[in-house]
Amino acid sequence: MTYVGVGSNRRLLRQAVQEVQAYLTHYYSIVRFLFPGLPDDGGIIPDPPTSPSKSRHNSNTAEQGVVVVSCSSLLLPLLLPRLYPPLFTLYCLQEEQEEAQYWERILRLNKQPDQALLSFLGVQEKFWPVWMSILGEKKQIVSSSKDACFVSAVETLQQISTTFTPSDKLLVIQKTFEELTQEVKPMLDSDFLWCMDDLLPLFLYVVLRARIRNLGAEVSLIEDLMDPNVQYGEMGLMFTTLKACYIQIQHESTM
Amino acid sequence: MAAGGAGGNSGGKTYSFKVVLLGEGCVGKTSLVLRYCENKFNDKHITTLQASFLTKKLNITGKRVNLAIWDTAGQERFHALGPIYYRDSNGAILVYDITDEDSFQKVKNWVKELRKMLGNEICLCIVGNKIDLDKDRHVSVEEAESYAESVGAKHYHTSAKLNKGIEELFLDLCKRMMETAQAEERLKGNGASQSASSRRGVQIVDDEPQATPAGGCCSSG
Repeated sequence: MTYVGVGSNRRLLRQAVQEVQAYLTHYYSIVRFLFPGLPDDGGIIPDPPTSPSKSRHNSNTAEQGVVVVSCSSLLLPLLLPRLYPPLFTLYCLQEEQEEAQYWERILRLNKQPDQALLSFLGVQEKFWPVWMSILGEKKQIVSSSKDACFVSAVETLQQISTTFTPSDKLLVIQKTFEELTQEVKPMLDSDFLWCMDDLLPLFLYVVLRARIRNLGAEVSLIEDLMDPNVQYGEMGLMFTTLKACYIQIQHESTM
Repeated sequence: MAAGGAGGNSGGKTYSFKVVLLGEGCVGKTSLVLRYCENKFNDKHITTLQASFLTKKLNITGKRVNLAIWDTAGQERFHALGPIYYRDSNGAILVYDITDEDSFQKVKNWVKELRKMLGNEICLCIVGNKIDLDKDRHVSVEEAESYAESVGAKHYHTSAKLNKGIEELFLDLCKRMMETAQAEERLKGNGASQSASSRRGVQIVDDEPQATPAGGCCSSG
């Protein structure tokens, strides 16, 4: 890939993405030549006794433990680390304007202490943490406390920048939701269940506090290269919620 | 999304549909789907997103249907995020509270938006919830039903509290989505729009437990 360097341009992004996809298809055809038993991309690997199926586009979230072949999850971990720096640079160029607006809002909103920010985002008070732990010491959160709430979810989400493949990034997003759930649990009734009305403002808080540089580039990269099989499942909704937060932050009015 | 892989050695088909749930904060949309998917929460298998993402498997006239129900945030400040969530949906359930006229107005706004963005391909259900509070009704039955008809949507009355009308709502929606999917399939079979790429569609997989749609598809929109 020689897309970046002098004269690198965001218009080259589509080309670059197509090239990555072409590599995937090409390499997968080689892999299938070497292992003729492998089904098509998106096909399922049949359990030994059951009959093979010709279907494409299956989900690998199937509960019955069906294994789905996905050439992106098979080959991207090998391919992407080599191509990542130039590709990500192109995504950053592509997102430059939105990113600038996003970053300006991030800096401005992050000046607020936790409780002011939570209330500004419309997070219901029942979700506001009361205690924080500093070096193992339990302290009460007061109105001037900053960066004390949902720390573990925030720190988890920050790891998104350290991963290469869309599936690893999706795992980071999923872990963030899990951490958030764990952090909220002690404050709520045992029969409480998340709904989006509650979850979105809280996740927005986490995204804001995570202060991720180039979040727009991360989001577009995942969107372009994620395994289409998971797009409409739970992972898809988690990713969509991250994307929604990125867009919301850009348009968030100031306090 | 693709109408991929139809046909095969056995007759069983699985349809996978994405359904988006829209409605203002207090109209009870979450209780509605929770009622419907309730049995899911009897066991310990709870998803990360809990009631924000629910799935249901059905069997309708011998065809298997997988529903993925996406919850959305109903607050006004997040209104602009709607399109990100309802992208590629096969169906939308728009819930209002029969005792709250504003919530019905909101539903009208969403209908307008959905029709504009997704055309007639999306099956719309307008749901008047909380019929157990009929004495405080502020949205008349006639008004709601005639409105629904005028925009090509179906209207339902439900009570999440009394578990009324919910089963029918989802069953009906599934049937309509299947019809839409079958119409698309036929169109594709005729080669009428083979090259047409579309943002939405339905995946028909043969003989698999679960499937999520992907890729391009025919469109009749």
